[in-house]
Amino acid sequence: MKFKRYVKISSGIIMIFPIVLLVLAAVVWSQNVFTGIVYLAVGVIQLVGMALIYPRISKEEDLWELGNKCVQHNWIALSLGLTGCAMFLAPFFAVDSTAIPYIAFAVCLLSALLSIFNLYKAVKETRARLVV
Amino acid sequence: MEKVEEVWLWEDKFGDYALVPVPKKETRSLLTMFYTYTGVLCCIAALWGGSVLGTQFYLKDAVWVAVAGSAVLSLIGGLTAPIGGVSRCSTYVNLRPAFGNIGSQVWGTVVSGIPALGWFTVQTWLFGVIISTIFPEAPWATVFAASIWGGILMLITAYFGFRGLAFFSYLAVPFFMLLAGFGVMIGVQQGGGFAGLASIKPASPVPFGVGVTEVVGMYVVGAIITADICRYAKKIWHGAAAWVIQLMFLQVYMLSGAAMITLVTGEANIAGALLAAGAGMGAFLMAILGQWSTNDNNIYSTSLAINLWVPIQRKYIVLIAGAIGVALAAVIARVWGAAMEPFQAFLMLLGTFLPAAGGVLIADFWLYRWYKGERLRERYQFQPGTKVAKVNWIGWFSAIVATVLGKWAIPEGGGIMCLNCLLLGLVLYIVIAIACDKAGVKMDLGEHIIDKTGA
Repeated sequence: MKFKRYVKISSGIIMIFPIVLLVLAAVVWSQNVFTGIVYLAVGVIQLVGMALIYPRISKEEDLWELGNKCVQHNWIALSLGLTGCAMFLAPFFAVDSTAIPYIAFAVCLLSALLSIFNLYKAVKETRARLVV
Repeated sequence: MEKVEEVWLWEDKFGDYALVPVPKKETRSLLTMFYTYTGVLCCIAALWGGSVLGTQFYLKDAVWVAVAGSAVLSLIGGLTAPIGGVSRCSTYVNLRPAFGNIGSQVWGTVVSGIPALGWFTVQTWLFGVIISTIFPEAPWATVFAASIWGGILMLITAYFGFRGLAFFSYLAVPFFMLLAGFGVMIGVQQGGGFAGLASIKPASPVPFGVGVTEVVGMYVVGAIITADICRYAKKIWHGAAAWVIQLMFLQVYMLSGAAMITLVTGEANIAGALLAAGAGMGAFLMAILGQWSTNDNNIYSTSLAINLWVPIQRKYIVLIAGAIGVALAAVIARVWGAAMEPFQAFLMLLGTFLPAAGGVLIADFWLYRWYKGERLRERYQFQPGTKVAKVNWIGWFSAIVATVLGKWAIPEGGGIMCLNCLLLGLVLYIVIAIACDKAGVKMDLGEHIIDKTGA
């Protein structure tokens, strides 16, 4: 199924972003442990949230149900992406390197944008519900 | 096996299944239930509730108070949510068997319509207070101005009904939860670790039971009206599960986080404390998303309750009741500004009048129907043509007497007042109902036939 393949590929791309966050968490841990914790929290939830889509859609043959599952997982990616965008540049999470918070911000922005597109595609192609 | 299509005989005249059961095809997942309930929980008022605990208890005790209060609320909501799951109707329709049709209109308005509108007003005003704290100089951010534009924002999602609420909760909930974690971080950082935090003496200590009453009073309306959301649940147990999880984990976490901030900073205004600690835009967004995702639910519940006796489209009730709420919030802002008195007085009022009706509802569904031999899935199955009483006098009597006894007859310190009222309502109803049944005394006065619009 074409849409299923799209979901698998786009979910894989989204999963790259939280992995970057986890790396950043490791980097900043010794500078500001709270920044490390918040990167870790956003990264882990986003990663697990997206990874779970694979077993859930593996045997799914119904296009509408597939779209609904895609919507569920992309909401998680979107809301956490927005959360990261809103929090990562806050003064409380500042670290020695000014670039790191901006990289984390950019990573969250990208995941949010891609998940918005996935939501749009799921609704458009499978007539999935935005509220499932 | 072939799927059997549901036969749905209703006409959804008022929109969003306000008076009729939600059809099976419109039901939603456990995740949506969880998000929507958590959206209600995620508000600044909940954090302020936690910060009140921070002024009253040592950290360890504050956590135990939060756990105990959440457990009581879990029990209440865990009993009311399956009622919505079984009937797939709102709380106010579910009140019909226990109070009669007129009773459901009156008690629905008393239990939820007016209090939820009150919450809407208070939360809208709180929103104004928070925004003015964050932007003290901006003319658009005075308590008065922010109450008005904030209230209008909150009406937008409520206007679209359940879909609007759930949609917004998806966005707001993770954000708010992480920001609540921010409170924990501030507490740990400024309090010298958990050990330092645990040793900070509270400013004005109170007994354990008072704290539990505060926690229960803060969310008891929500616990009684869980059916408004979980009538959309795919399975009967989904609503109760989502309710209990969000309380026992997220509420405890939020209350404890807020208590930590207050213990460390002595600041009861959470948004101000977050801003001072460097939350930046996060504090602003927290205020907007948190208040919005809670307050749209308040006005939504009001519209469902009022729809029982005002036969117009539910969305218009949202606009009319919402306009009243926003105007009242603006008046509060003009009179009190950013003072906390209206919030505290309102919390006290809520704990008094509502829980007895919840006790009656629980008694009728769980105990009386069981006594009558009705199986769980057969209870509260309304259909066009179903006959209900105009007034169920036992429900009225039990709720009024329980409220009077719970509020005025039981001395202070005799347990948790709202829980007393709920239990009294429950016990009175089941005892009188069974006694009347055995003696052949009718509990129904008059008869109302539900038509296909649910009216």
